[in-house]
Amino acid sequence: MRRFGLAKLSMAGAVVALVAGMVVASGGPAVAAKRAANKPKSGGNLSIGVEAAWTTFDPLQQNNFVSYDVDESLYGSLLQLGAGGKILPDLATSLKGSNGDKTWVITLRKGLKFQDGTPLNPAAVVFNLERVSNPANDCLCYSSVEDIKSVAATGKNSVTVQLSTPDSTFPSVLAGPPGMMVSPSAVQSEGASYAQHPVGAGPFKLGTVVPGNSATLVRWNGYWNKPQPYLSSVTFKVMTDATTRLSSLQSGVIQDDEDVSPTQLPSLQSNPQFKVTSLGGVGTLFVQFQTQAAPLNNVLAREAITYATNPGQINQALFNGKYTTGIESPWTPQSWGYPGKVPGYQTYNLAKAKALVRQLGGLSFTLTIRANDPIALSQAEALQSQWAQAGIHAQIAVLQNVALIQASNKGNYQAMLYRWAGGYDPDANVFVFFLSGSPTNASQLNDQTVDAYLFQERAATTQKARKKIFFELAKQLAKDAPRDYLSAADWWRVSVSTLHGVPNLANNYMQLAGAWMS
Amino acid sequence: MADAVALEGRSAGLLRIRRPRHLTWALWIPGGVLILLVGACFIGPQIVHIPGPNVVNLSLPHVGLGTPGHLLGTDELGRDLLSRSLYGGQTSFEVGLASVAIGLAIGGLLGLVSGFMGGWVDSVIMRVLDILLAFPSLILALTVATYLGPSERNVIFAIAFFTVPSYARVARSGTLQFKEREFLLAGELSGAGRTHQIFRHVLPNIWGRLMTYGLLTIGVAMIVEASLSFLGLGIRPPQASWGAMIAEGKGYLTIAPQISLVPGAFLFVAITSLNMLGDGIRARYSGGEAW
Repeated sequence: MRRFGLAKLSMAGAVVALVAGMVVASGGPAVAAKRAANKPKSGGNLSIGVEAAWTTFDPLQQNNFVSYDVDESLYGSLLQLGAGGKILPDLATSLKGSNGDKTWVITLRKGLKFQDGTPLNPAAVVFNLERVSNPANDCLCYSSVEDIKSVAATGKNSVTVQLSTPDSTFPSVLAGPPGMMVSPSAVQSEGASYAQHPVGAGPFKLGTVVPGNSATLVRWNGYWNKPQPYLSSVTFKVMTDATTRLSSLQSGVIQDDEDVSPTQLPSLQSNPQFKVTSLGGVGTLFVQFQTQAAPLNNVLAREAITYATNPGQINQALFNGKYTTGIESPWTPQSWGYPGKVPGYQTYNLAKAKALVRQLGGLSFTLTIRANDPIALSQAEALQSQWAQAGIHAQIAVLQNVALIQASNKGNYQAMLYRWAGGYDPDANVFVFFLSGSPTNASQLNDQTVDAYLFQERAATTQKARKKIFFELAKQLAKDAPRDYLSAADWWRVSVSTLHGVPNLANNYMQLAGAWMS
Repeated sequence: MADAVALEGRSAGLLRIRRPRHLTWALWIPGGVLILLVGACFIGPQIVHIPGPNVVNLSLPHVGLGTPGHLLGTDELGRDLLSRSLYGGQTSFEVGLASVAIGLAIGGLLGLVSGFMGGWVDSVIMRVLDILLAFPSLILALTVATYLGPSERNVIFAIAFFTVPSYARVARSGTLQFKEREFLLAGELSGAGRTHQIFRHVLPNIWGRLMTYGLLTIGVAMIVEASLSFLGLGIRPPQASWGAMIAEGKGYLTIAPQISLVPGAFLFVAITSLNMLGDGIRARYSGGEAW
């Protein structure tokens, strides 16, 4: 009896221990509940407050990061940018380079379809890459794909791209606008109105659009990566004013504010309803100069302005020192191409600025900034006062955001306060912006030495070799002085704490396939 | 009272009517506040030592009210808010007065001619002005300001442009009211020309209502200037105006609300005083007639 009892007790103990062990091993009820809470849920509508309107829904004319956000959701991309700049598969499963990075083979995911039901096959990829690399189509991305010599379907799921020059940045290129695949049949049937009726293979398809105001994208059930997308719809609401975005977030009109000023952070950081994400920055904020038009076609004038600029003082006064300053090149400390101090760069030196202005016999020009942006206005006025100390007279003019970008690309300005969201590959911050004749060479710089460095860094195969070339390029750019750098384009994004699954990218690009609301 | 007005109507000068004394406070309080405000804006900076409105001090950004040397604090660039509010008031009053003066001169003249001449002249002038009236006033001002570019002069033109039709309407209705009066008939019989009749007999009698309406629209003009500056189409930075200051402070509302609130308070007091004064004058001098 006793023995039986003991045996029974021992067995009961063992069962209890086993169950307890299993519960402990699985993390206990709290962890189980947490796991369930962390499991993505389908449904929900997300509204995002964006600071600017998109110009079109065609990747050909994608010219700001808001356009990227919308287009990424509509199209996806052959390759995708991951956290830290890692290139990940998306519509393509792999990309292999050979022949000294002149030949690239794209392997497509099997069974892909566009939102209009047509197949996304190698022929469609050929159509797309030929479309972006044809100068007649006037792609803003043209400089990054003009080295495409030929594209051919070379297998059931593979496409081979031949480049005219070695290009180690090609994977990054396919993770941007050139990698966004449009439906060939939609392009052919829609013609010139394609930009208003886009068809891609991304997680969402276009719903309703109020031009310049909002665009609603609805879940596409044919997306390849099931069960994504989780959200039923995503609405991009244009709110150019940071205060409007913030109050809309606080009142529940939007659930995500894509660009929060550091001056607004104190009111949000202590509120558990919101999640503040500091993304850092791989782009820069700068004053760009039109180097081909008087008076700033004189390099001494550009040097004088840069010498007269004290970015640290502006950062401290306006933003409590939150932005990363000390930038002297197109790269930031978060980019592996960052060269640190650049010999020859015009670091703040009022005496030198004054001497140059005396030599020039005075200096007056117009600084163009974005309209309805009080923060940009404050920065411009701060610059105006700093420059005035050196005898430089600057007038401030404002332009609406779309007009500002167009004026920048066409060179219709003298000096302009501008921000580039940046790319993880250092090439994305220079090649299309400084290559002679590039449609986005806003400074209209025309320097053969710079061009040579740009092609060299693309041809170099190791990061070490490329970094060395970037340093030389930075020194040459310091001589040309096409930009007066103010800070890194650091980003703060704020969303409701119930929004999950949005990767944090330092260029503030939004990828929403995996986003969900709890 | 209407009969008294008609009988006392005369060819030069305003009508003499009995003034209800109980309305005096409604004139003196807003009038006194306005005189103080205009004096502070235009004379204050000359007699009191304050920093210049555009003197930037980046080492002293957005300090609060009551800071020594900066009674109303500073903005995000360390500029003295009292100074900018006073100089900004100059801009706002200049824009308000100048645009009203231009609108009143052109609109008043068109209304006088239109009402006095009648016939096809009246029809043409009024239909053209009706078209302008059909546009929302702020949109019209925005369009003109966008076309002309941002500057104080252009803002004045833009605001004056949209006020012309309303002055013309007021002047025309007044002219029609007096057109058939005995003193004008007497003038006509004695051989007075149209120009003489309009400027010597009609204008003095409708001047009061035009001035009252003008006073009310100064406030409107100041608000429109504030709206244009708020939208980046007003005056050129760094020149201050109350509207531009409110707009610029928008980005710092959470950490330094005084940047917007201080000029907002000045604007509020000015507009309220102008409206009260306009209402007071109308009540006092209309003599019971519908203006």
